[in-house]
Amino acid sequence: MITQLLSSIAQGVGLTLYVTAASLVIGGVIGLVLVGATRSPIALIRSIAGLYINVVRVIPPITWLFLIYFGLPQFTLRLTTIQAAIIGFSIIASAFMAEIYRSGLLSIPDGQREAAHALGLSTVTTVGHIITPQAFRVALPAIATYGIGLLKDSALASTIGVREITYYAQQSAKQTHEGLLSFVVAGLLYIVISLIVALVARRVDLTLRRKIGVA
Amino acid sequence: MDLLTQWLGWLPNLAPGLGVSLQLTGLSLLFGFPLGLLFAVMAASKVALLRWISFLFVEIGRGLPALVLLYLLYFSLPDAGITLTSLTTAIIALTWNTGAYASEYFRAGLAAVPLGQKEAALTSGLRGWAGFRLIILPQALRISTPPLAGLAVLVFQGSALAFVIAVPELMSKAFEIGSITFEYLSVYVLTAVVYGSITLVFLALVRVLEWRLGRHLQRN
Amino acid sequence: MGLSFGTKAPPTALSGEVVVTGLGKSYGAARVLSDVNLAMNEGEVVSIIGPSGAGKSTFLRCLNYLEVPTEGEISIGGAHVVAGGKLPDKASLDHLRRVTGMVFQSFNLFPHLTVMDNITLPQRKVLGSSKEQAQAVAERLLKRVGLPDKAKAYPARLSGGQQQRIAIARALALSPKVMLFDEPTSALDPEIGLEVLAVMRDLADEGMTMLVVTHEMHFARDVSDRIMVMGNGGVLEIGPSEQVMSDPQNERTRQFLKAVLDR
Repeated sequence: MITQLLSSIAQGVGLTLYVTAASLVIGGVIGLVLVGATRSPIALIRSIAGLYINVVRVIPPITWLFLIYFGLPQFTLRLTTIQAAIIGFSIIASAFMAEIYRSGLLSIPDGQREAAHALGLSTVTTVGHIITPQAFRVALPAIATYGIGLLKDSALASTIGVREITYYAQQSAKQTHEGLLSFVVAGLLYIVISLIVALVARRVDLTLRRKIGVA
Repeated sequence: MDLLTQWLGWLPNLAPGLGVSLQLTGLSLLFGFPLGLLFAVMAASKVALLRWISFLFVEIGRGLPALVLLYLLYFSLPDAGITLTSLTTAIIALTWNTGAYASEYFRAGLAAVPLGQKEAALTSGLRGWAGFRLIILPQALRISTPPLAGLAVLVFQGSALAFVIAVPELMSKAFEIGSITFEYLSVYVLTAVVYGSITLVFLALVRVLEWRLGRHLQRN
Repeated sequence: MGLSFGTKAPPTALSGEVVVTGLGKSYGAARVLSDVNLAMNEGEVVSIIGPSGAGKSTFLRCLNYLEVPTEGEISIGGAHVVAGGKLPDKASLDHLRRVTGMVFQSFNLFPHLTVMDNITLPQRKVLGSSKEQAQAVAERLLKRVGLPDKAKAYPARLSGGQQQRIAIARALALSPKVMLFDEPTSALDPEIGLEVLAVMRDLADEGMTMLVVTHEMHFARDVSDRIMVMGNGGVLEIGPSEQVMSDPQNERTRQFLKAVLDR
């Protein structure tokens, strides 16, 4: 029974991973733009970025999903379930990633910027070659943790019909009347994937830190 | 303004939903935080069994998506012969979820209280529970407050999930209005505004609380 | 004995000369630097000493605009800037930073780059040197500071003294006309500090114009040509090293030296 359940529910793993990864990457890129905007010399850009970050984070993910999937068609912007899910999660991820970057940037000692200035490095070079690589390394554990959180949030995509793990678990529950078992299997899948991601992230972080001699 | 009148017209329908959401959130926090504290204390226990039970409950409560936890209980409890209302099921699921996350924050907070405090409490005649309650716990709580506040926000957002097991909270009311009027965008924007503003007000209050808890540390 | 100037603008400095007139800085109501004047010839070594909070580092950091002076004029190696409470135009700022090299108390090496990259990156980005040119310069400088085999190492694995010497190499790689040292050995154990001071001494012997904020009185007396004593944001005294150390004119200098040397 369990193997049967496992094989049917595991069909959802692909989309779970896809939605999570796509949202993390897109959100990560938008987050970079956002954090840059929060440091812009133009007050208007700073305000908009700050507003975006604060608004996105206080609205429940499921509300975002429903807003995008059910609300946007009114503008004849009909999206597939997967598209709506990725857009929704990317927006949310971008706000959280911006905050993670901000912490990373804050942890870079002022001395790094001062040395770069004293050497005459341009702002572009300083940000691109000195600050960002260091901030990213520092932020990596936090990004991994957030990624795992996003993995769990991706279960919400089932509510708008994305055929990921939770969706198949629901189907199994209805069809086989093995509700408990179905969701135990689903839960285990999420836990196993999270563990793998956590282990990989820890390995990567350790390798990077050993390379530059801080571990 | 047309939008405003539309929204004002919907508020009476949404209000009971909001009430249920707040009820769900409040009860989950009320039961979840102490549960988290219990898990944290159990995790530090010398009794291996207690540590294991705590570990299991925390890892499952944290490792599973809240939605899966919700479905799990919703489908499994009836099979075990326990019939509960959707709301109660949701409260149990959310409490478990909250307790699991809270336990980690409490563990960090407890660990962060300097060892010397425990020793000072002992030598001041405050043993066991009294020492814990009066000296250690307040300091641990102060450290844990910011992440716990963040957790409270997440629980409030999590309450929106109860919609899928037919709990008549805010999201479900919004969906009702949407399916009748087809003004999905408008009603969900309003819903977002409601969630957002309550959260922002809550966060502002937490900042005041943090300030008051940390006042004794400011050098003036 | 101080140096005085007329009210006309002083001549723009050539090559390694430093001419600073009337430098001042205020943080709102607080006056951090007042009327600091300094003229250095090429190849001169001047040490800046004085009690904490005297403004020594602030003064030094104004010279390459890590701090923004509110009034005064700076002429270093052909770059000329009139202070006005904000950053100067990009061209002047870049010029100023190219003719000056700075060594920091906390080294500030880039931890995510190898020693070689630390020294070649600025050359490639600021001077436009090719990778080969930059590496050749880096190897030469590493040999000069006594660390020829550390090119591939990462800074975190090196001792403080080694890191500081690499920081010196990194600054020298851009061929500055004047080297600014902000308490280069304060974060190092005295023994380790000697390695760094030795490199600085060699640099001085080779004719580099150097301005050094330091607590190392031996260095100040033995290696520098002149000593500038600062207190409370102003210059208390400036003169030949031997003379300032053994026979200071200013009362506060006397007190400071007494406190520092009588341990």
